[in-house]
Amino acid sequence: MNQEELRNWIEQMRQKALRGEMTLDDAKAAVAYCREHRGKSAVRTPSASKPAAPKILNVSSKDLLKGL
Amino acid sequence: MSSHFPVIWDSTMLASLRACRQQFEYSHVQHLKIKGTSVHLHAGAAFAKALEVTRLSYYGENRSPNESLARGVQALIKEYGDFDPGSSAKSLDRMVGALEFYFSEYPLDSDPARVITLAGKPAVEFSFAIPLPLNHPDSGEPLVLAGRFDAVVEFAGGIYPNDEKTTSSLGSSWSKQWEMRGQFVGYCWALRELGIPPAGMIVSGISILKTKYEQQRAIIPTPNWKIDAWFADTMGEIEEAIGRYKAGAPIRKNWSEACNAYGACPYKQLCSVEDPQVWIDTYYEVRPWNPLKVVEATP
Repeated sequence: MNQEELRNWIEQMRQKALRGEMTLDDAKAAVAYCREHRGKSAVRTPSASKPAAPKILNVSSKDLLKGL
Repeated sequence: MSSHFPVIWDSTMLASLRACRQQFEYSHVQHLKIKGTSVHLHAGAAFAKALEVTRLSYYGENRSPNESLARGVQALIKEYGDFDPGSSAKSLDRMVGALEFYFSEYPLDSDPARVITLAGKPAVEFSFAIPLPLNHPDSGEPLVLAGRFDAVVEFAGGIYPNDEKTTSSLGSSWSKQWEMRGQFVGYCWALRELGIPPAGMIVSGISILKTKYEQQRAIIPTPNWKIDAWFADTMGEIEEAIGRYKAGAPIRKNWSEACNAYGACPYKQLCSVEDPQVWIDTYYEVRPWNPLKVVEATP
């Protein structure tokens, strides 16, 4: 499913939701489609394949030890 | 022009007061807002609701990560409603994708930042309202500092308020902007007042563009001295505002960076004309800000 197809499918889900007809299975399918799309997407960010380490700001080793 | 001095304060109001007294007057005394809804606010609110539902489902109802996320998607689509984002990247499909992306980066069952339980419930989207040692200039009642945590988490042995920020881009300097953010030091102060000493603040950012998503997470240690300094400065700022209010002091404009920050102050046009009332009548409406409800209340 490319971005355009995904957009159209989500739009159908929106219409179902507006009518109060969207089900949990619909939502699960949306998650699966988004996951599939992300996996196939040609444009990947470095963080999409490996979580970036959190940035710890303005921290001395003393403060860090306190935090831990 | 002044009508009422605020009783309940939050980080948005404090930031406005510090940025520009005229902006504060328009926004939090007269409660003027530009007509219509900002796509950033609308999409951000829908995303926040989805995060809340997902976390409550996982941490509070013991549902699986996948089902919890599906419930979050349902909430997001419902909350987004029939809003038209125009050409913004924050369209419904991109927001749904962003939610899935977020929890692929921070999986519910393996994210080292775990939502804690407070009063028997997951510490997700809960409000605080704490009386301040300052009284209202008219009623004499204590002023209150209020806010709302996205979540409170345990991370590496410490307790941290966690806040999510959606944005269009996450540059190398994104994480540095939070170091002196009063909003977050205030959250740490509130948590400390509630008897839970925080180690610091976590800010999780997700950028939503038309072709990609990115994320960053910043850990900001917040020692007690910093919280104390923020509190002293904040009380001083409000006390000075009370003094100006009582004295009927003129409301001054910033005449500098605050006029252009974040893509320009929403009241810049009013400050740019001799008679702002015509613009107010045409382009603005009164929408009181309620810090305890997060979203702007409608009259």
